[in-house]
Amino acid sequence: VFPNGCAVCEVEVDPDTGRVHVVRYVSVDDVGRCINPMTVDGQTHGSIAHGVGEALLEQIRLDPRSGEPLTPSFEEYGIPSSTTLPPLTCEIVEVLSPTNPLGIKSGSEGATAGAPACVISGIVDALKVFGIRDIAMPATPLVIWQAIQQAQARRSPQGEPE
Amino acid sequence: MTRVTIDVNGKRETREIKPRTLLVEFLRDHLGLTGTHVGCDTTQCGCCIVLLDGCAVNSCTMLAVQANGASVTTIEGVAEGDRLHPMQAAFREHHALQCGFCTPGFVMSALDLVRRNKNPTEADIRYWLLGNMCRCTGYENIIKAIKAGAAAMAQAR
Repeated sequence: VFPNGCAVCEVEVDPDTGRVHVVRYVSVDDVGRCINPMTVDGQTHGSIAHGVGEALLEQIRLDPRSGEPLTPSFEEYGIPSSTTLPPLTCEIVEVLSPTNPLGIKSGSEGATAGAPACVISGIVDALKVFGIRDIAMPATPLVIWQAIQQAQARRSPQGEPE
Repeated sequence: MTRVTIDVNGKRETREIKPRTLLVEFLRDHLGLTGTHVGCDTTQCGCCIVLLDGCAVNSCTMLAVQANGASVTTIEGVAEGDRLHPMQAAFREHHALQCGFCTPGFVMSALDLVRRNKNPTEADIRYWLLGNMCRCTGYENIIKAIKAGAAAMAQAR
């Protein structure tokens, strides 16, 4: 018996800058019996932000020679801001667990697992017109812009823009 | 050492401090008002926001001597006794926090937003909150709370 869920998002990619906007995000989670929906929803929002942050922004970088952290503050390490996410739609489905008297599974943090796949799938779908089949996280504007440039260079071997 | 006098939450406070003392150190270490938090120390997270003559400022990026003679409001000065301010009540009602570390900064920031814009839209709130960071909530309920808090403040007026 596992908690499980589903997440769907709509993203827009600006091909000139590589910038991603998540314009809609919907999730449904089966948490077993939901004792306090208000706090489960609150945790779900936060865990979506964690997952979207991982997909779009967050990476700990170390200097390969010295091991020195290169992302020690918010100047270098990006976390989601108030404008990163759209208004979230989160629903809960209660499929009671048979393994304990309360019917509880676990809640709230499942969204962190689904969000990166959800967001990156959306980005790859948007970029399939360029022949791009995968994007590494974090999908920063630079990563996406470079992928678009490389895809275009592959299509026209002289390096001329199409 | 230098002498500063700052009106904090309606009470005049005079202390002898080192000139390099930050406003947030003055509040936390000299006055014991630990509701104002230090998150990043680099003016990005907004956990240390207080009102200086009504305007939201990052108190980790300001010297206490710069606030000499001014009036400062911290999170401790927002409620009236046991009665929460409408903005605080809205944060509680809408579950606009998880760990709560950033919450004082968000409440103080929201009070300055509503002072400037009595009826902020969701877009206004999101843009205004770019100076506050939250790791736990995804901002969703904070935005709802500030919208509701602004409406409650308008009604209370």
